Amino acid sequence: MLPNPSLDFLQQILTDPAWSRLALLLRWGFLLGFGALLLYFPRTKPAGSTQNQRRFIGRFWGFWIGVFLLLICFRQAQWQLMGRQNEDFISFMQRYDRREFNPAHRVRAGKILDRRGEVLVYSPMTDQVIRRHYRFGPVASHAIGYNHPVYGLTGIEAAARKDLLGQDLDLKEDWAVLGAELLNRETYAEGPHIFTTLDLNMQLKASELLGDRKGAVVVVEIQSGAVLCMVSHPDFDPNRLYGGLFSGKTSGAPLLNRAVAGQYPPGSVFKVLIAAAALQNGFKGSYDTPPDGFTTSAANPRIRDHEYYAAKEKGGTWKGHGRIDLATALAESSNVFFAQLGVDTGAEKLLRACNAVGMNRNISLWEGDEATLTVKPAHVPDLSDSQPYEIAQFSIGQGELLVSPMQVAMISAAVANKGLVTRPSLNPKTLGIPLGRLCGAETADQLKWMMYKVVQEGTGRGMRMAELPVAAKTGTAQIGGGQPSHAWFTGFAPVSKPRWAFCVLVEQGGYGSASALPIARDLFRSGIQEGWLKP
Amino acid sequence: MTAKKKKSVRKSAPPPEGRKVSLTGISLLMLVGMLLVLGARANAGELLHLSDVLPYALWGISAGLLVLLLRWGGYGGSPVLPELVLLLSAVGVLVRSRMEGSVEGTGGWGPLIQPLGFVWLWLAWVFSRKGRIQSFRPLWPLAFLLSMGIIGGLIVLGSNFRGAFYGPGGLTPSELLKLLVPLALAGFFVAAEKKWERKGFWNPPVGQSLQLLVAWGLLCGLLVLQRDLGLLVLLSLMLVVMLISVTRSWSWGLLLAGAIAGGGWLVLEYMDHGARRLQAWRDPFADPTGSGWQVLQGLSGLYAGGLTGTGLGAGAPERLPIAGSDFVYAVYGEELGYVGCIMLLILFALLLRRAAAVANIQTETFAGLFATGLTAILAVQVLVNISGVVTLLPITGITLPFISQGGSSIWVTSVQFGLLLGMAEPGGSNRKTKSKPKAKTRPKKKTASKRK
Repeated sequence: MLPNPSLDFLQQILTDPAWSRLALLLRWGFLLGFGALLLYFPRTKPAGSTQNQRRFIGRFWGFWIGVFLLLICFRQAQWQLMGRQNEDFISFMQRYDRREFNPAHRVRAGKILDRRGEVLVYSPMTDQVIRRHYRFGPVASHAIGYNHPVYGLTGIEAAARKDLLGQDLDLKEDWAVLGAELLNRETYAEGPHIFTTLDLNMQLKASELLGDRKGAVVVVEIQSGAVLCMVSHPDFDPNRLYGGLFSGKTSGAPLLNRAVAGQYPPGSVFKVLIAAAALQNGFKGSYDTPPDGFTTSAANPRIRDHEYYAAKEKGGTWKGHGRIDLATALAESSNVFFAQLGVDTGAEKLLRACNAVGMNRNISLWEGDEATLTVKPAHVPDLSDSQPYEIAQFSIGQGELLVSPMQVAMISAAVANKGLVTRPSLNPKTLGIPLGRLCGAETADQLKWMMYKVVQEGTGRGMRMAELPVAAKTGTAQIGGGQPSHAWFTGFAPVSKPRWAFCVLVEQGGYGSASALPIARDLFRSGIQEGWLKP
Repeated sequence: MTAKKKKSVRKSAPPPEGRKVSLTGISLLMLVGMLLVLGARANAGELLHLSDVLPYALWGISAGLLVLLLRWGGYGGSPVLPELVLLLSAVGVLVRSRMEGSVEGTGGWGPLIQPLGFVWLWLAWVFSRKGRIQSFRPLWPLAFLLSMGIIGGLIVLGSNFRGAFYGPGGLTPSELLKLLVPLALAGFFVAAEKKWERKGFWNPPVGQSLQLLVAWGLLCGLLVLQRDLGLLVLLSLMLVVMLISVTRSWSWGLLLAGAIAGGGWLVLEYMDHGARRLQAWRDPFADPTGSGWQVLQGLSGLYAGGLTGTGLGAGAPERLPIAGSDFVYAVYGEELGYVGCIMLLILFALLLRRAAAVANIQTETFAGLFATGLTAILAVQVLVNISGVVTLLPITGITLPFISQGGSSIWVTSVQFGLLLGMAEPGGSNRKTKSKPKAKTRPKKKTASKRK
């Protein structure tokens, strides 16, 4: 082997602190020197380049090679200089590029705003570290999700990740920003902000009203499908995530978004859908509602109205509603009536109504390339006309049927929207996308006034407000095991020109009219009083 | 005729003082580059040894020797061409030397590749100047047979050799086709020069075209079997350029369009890795961790470099698969930035302009066509390699001349430059007319070098 001594003097010079400053100068010197040399060469024109000498390689070749080189320059600039525009590219580099000095790693995700432009999430820098700050902590934590270096991404943060990274070059100022970023590579650039459909005021109020109770509040704009409010309790603070949250040992499953992924028996609120299916089927008659209820065969327990149990508890008897029509049955929430109505309407029609509101599939609230925020499909039992008792139970929202509050809100929204089902969406860019049709416009109009009657004369009387006429339906879903029922309340307002559909669920809250209804009432009342809701 | 030549002689021989500027500039650039690369390595905690300075020192010695040899030998061509070659080789040495250690090893040949290249360059110059290039003319059938033999041999022995082909210090015999095929084609066309004259794509000389078609079909078939898509593209594009040159009819460009369409279809239908490359080109984000990975890592490097780059030696080529050969432009762009890339492109453009001029001053058709073929190969290599990195075209596996790692590629390019230098001398391709101007320039040069 040849001797290979170490170069100590060179090592010393090159590792001297002064060298780094000199190196910066030399870097520029290298580029400038290179450029100067290139400028020096063309001073002499090559022989064989004059017109009459081009025997083998014509002038056109030079032209086309020049064009090609320009194309290369443009294409390269798209990546090297304007790569920030390409959110796919930035996203790729943030994930897979291990060059620490790559400025892509310092591109901070843009702000997430509510529908009025109120900042919900932004990326401040403290002590040279960029983190994601959720201004309202747990409020809307399920919708927004989190972007955490350890725990990953969920919610809108995941679905809109790439949109939060790119760069728009629509404005002149944006070009200036791009230029500044190119010259100063240390700049901590910020991606574009995105709007959501959430209404911060409503979100805050609903969250406050639900308080410590477990449950969910959903408010949807009827025409557009914009989700104004999506509260799920218990919630979590995305600013303070900890391992225990993810181990599944935390009580109450705070990470579960009850509004779209919770699965509950809907109880009486489901009667709205049954009524829509029956009316669409041409139902016009009435049923007798005997006090001892209804069953399809002697082997099955009888389905009775809640008044029967109430009277029995007090030691008295109840003489039944008698022979009533659909409007009265809905107002009084008669189980006996709806059990018969469902059986007579038939499994096929009922299931078709379920599918019309999208209960059989994932409905995306925010579609992203890498992740999508969806409404979980409902658990709909496999009904058949040969098993009428299952249909009877299904018709009063009991049995194996499990739905989420968002799906219930969608049923109300469809009734208010002339039977049309609109896709609920958190993304303002995907509003007003039709999903299907629950029933005809006339049927929907009939049902609308029936639901109005529920508030005027029936179980929803607590919702009567002078400032806002509401059409609604209460629900009290039994969950068995001697536990209190789930309380439901769904509807829409204002009745004459519906704008908002809502659904409130309080887990084990007892009667819907007692615990769920006041939340909806106070939400709308304070909205109108405080001025952020304008009917 | 003679008057014209005198003019060109005067133009291509500016005062030696001016030449000194560029040679000093190139050396300075190399020195600064060396300090930057070594500085980055030292600051990364590496202990510097004598062997780390070797590549630059060897380049300096051999480049100086080459300049002296050219001068003593009475090089009478454009002085800019050898200087551009030197500048390009300096950039190449800088980029490659900074990848040693961090990227797959250069097999011990590393520091010697470029100096040896200069030796081949000098030899090629000696053997091609003073009209000696004409003596290669009768060898064209041999060149064709040799090309076929090389590819055929690779197919037969390839599996055993495979690993060695891609070893940077090892030889890649198929690189030789970049010399042999233009030689064979030039000879073939000259043998029937009259038949090709002014014949467009629509009225080709039938017999000749059939011969060409069969020969090219055989060659392409072997290259497809050997799965050397890059070489196939390179040689086919060169064929089109030479056809246009010999017939002076642009209609042969239609052949190019047809070849692109047909080739694209063939690749999509029959070549698995070809289809993946097409996919990676059209939408690298479709499979970012699979087929798009390499391209996207290269682009990430470019983005990290930005406008002015991270500085020589401060990049991270180890993050890039096959950084040394196909993606060397991405490493360069990361360290010298967009500005540096533009400069490299200008350098290549100047070089191509000079090479084209060399072809154009030839008085013999054979030499002119040969030079045209060599220029075309250079141009296609530069354009296709860089286009692949910046996703203007799919990746084809073509190296960047004088910058990419790989001894064979650099040596073959050296020989190409040497041949061009030999032909660059006025009247170089004509034995009869050469004597007069050469006799005039030679003593001038000699006295000029003696004065210093």
